[in-house]
Amino acid sequence: MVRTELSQVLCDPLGFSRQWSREGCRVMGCLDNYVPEEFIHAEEMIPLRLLGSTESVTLADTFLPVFAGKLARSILEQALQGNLVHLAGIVLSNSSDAVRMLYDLWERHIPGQWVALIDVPAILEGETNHRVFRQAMLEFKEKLEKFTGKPLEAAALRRSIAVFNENRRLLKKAAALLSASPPRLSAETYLDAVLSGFVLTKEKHNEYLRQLLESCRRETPDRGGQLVPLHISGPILVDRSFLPLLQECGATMASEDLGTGSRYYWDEVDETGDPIEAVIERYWRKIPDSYKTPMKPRWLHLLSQIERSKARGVIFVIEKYSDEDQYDYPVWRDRLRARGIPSLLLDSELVLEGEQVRTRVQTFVDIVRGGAFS
Amino acid sequence: MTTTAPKKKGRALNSSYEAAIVLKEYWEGAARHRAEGRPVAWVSGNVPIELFWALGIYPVYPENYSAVCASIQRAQELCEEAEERGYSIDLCSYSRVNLGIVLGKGVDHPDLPYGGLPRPDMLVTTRIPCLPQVKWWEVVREFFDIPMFVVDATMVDLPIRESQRQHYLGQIRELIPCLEKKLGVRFQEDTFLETLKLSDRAAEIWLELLDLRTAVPSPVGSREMCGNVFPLVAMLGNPRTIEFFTHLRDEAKQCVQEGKGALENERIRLGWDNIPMWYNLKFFSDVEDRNAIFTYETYLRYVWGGRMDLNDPWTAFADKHLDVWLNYSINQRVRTLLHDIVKFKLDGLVFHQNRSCKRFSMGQRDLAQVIQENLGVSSLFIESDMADPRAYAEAPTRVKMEAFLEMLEGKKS
Ligand code: SF4
Repeated sequence: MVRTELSQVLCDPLGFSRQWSREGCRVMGCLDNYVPEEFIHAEEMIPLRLLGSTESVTLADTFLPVFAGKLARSILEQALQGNLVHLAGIVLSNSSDAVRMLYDLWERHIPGQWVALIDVPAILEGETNHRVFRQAMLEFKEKLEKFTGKPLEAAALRRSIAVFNENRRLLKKAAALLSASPPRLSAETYLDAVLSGFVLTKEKHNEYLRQLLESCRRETPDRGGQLVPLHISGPILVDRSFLPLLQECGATMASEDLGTGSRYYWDEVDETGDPIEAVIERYWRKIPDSYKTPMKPRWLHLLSQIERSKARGVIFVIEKYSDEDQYDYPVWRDRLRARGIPSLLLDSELVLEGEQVRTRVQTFVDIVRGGAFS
Repeated sequence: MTTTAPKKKGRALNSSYEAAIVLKEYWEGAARHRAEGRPVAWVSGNVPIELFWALGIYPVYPENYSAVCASIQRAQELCEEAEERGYSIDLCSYSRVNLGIVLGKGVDHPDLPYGGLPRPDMLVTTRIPCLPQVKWWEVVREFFDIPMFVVDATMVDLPIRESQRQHYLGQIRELIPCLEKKLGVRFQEDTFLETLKLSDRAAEIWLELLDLRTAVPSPVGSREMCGNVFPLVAMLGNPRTIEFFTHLRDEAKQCVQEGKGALENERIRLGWDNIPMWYNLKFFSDVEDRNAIFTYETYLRYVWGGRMDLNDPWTAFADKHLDVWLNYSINQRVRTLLHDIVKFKLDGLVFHQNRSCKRFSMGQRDLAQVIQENLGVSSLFIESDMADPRAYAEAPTRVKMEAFLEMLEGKKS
């Protein structure tokens, strides 16, 4: 039952959020992992993560070239088509160059919609950058307060932090069930559970996650399959047809370090002390995404996930024209190879194209299964 | 293209021949520095260059080296080396050339221009022009396993905000002791300030030279000027730059005073946006057969070396480095371009949709739209790449250019 609820949310996320708007809720579109959603939540708005769409890009073509990447282009397309007018506003953080430029384009071409840029550094090292990062977050908080007309109350923020932290803990539990041997949660359900969290309110999502975990606890794990456990890495995975394909090829996702997965939810906010500072500190210290430096914590996260899940290989699902991830990939691949872990690179444009992907995945799974990798 | 009037042969300015000598001196200087055991840093566009000259650290520019490789038609093979190692063809071609060398042949392979790239003791880069630059340097660091420092910045809408300035300067205050510690050098403020004076003098002369190109007819076109720009990138703070730029400026000044243009019969004035196609600088001079001249480039005017008010040297130093085209918001680019099109009396603008340099290329459609709406100036888009010739389609581009010139000619008559 809960599995159906989770997957239904993903059939039409924008439709879902439109319904809230009709009910009088204010929904705030968010881009990327450095938007402190706790602030938005504490200001009684619903953060909705914008993940683009696989529809073809026509209007946005005029403003963003193909090499800006599908994510930025398709989000701009949604806005130009008028599909995001129900949102109270949009929040972007200064992440990839394409997203940064998207902010400028939004200001120029989507008149009348409130838009905020959290102008954080890309380099998350050094005292100066730390100061600037904190300042950018505080400026965003002030902008938000001006927008809602009410100050961000410490008590409200503490409540929001508790809700978000619970969400993170529940998702980590789901990740543990995914990695268990045999898995106690299927990869497809895990992905739905993670992605639906970008759409649902965190309270509702927590409720669903609790139900899901409870049902997993009651169910007997399926020992039948002999699926090869793999780790999936990359900035974004929203193509839900990929995991069934993986399974048809004899493998499953046993762990991930996706930008729209564990890199989003892994780190909690410290619940002691000043809540505003604690939220800022969480984003400063969180596992950095590929558009942030340093890369070491990201690598350590990837490794620890692989060790936990005993994944026998890694599939990198990388967005075409996502420079940050494309520079990382050969480095990661070589480091993994040095540890005897094979990897495969798949190009995506929010969707992974059919038959060719299947053939490559099948060959990879066969290699991993056969241990022919050297 | 149809020839309607003879154009001048060779360079418009004789001093432009000096560019190759200066470039050679720079790369030989780098090799000598390395051989003598003095510190070498690999740096990238818009790093605080004067600091390196003041500290006696030789700043080596792999980006320039990639452009050099492109200009002698060596970029493709080096890009392919990088691609074979898993670096996507969609990545910045400067970085692919460099990674092709670093991970392929090796930096000191004798077959490389100027005997190769001197090995770095340290890497310094910045996000000012783009984020991929930082990622590229991370790969290089992985290979050499040496210290790296990255100067961050957020994009600007002029005037620069005090917080942005302090962000920059705060990092410079962290960078100096880092360089001292890692490379065994000592920072002396008076030497640094002297270097800033040299840098600013060179920038002043360069900007005078560019302003001379507002004259009708223009004394010098883009092909030549792209070959002259290098010292502005890598040698600000080095007296040799002042010497070279003075020669160029004086000669151009004389041409303007005498009413002599690079073309005998200049009819159409063009501007160029983005990095040139280094393997195909001929693109610029080909239009001269149609009495058209490229006399303005955002790349030469705003990507390197602005002026500094040395009464407040640290503020000026920060502002100069932040105030660059690639770090401009789209709104700032629009304002700047609207102003310059009038100043340079341009009839048309060519936008190089450079698939390598995304930060440069995003927003170009907005620029084209605005200049058309506000000034009635038309533009042409060509899709290509600054270093990788595989992205350039000669025949269709020539046809497009031909049609564009015809249209501009029609508009004029
Ligand atoms: S992407 Fe552009 S700015 Fe960045 S390194 Fe390449 S050429 Fe330079």
